[in-house]
Amino acid sequence: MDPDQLHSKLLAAARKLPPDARVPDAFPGRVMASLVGRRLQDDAWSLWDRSLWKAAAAATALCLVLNFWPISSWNDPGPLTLETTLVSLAEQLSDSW
Amino acid sequence: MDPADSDLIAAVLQGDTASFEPLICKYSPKLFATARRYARRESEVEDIVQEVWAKAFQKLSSFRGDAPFEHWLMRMAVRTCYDFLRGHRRNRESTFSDLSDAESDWLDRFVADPEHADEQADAARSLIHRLLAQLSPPARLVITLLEIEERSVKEISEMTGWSAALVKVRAFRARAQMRKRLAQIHREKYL
Repeated sequence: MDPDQLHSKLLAAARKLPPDARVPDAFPGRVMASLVGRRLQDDAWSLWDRSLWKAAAAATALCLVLNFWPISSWNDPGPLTLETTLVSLAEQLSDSW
Repeated sequence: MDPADSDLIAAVLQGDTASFEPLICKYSPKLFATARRYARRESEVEDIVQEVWAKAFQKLSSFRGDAPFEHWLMRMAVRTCYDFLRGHRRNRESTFSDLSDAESDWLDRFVADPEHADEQADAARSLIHRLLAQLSPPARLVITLLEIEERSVKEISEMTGWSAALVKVRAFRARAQMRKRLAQIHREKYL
């Protein structure tokens, strides 16, 4: 028996009869029922777009907070802390030198 | 692209899910034919096709429309069938000693007169199914697409996502696996 010839014969047999394309009864209805509740997935660009906008909004908010927050504390020297006391003492000492 | 398909796809993307059903009715026969090349049980075939449609629905927004919808869908189908083969690897080392009488008779007739062996015989087709079931998933996929469906390397590369070089390497290895299995038939049956 020639395996290559058998190989060709068997593949020719497979080619000659295409597989059954029959669709089971009510199959489209079953698929549609399974799709209820599923969301269409955003494509990659839309996802990136949304994420970048969110990141930009968060970064802007942070910048605003960091920029304007010290303004509110200009008129208020803030509570006395060990650090501020030591720093003011150090400044007085350096002035006296 | 078929104007009817593009209208239906646009409607689904606008939120009209019901417009997806005509696409299912139109392309399911081709999907079932494809799935039946890789799965024998009807329940598995139906699961594969249902999964293809679920993926197609969820990823519909990624369909660009620069190629026919059918091509995009068939790529998804081939990859789903490949995932099925990888997930359902059975013991591939089964022997050919459990051939049916019809298969055994067909082989005997082939050995006696190879030129006139009937390619239309069901036994021949069931033998090729048995042989393909014994191949590794990539080998089975590439033999089915290249040798049975007679697709080009370029088409197979686009459908599977493999490079053309990888398709050729896998085809070479697949043919070697087939020859090894056929030699095994010869040894088990005739020696």
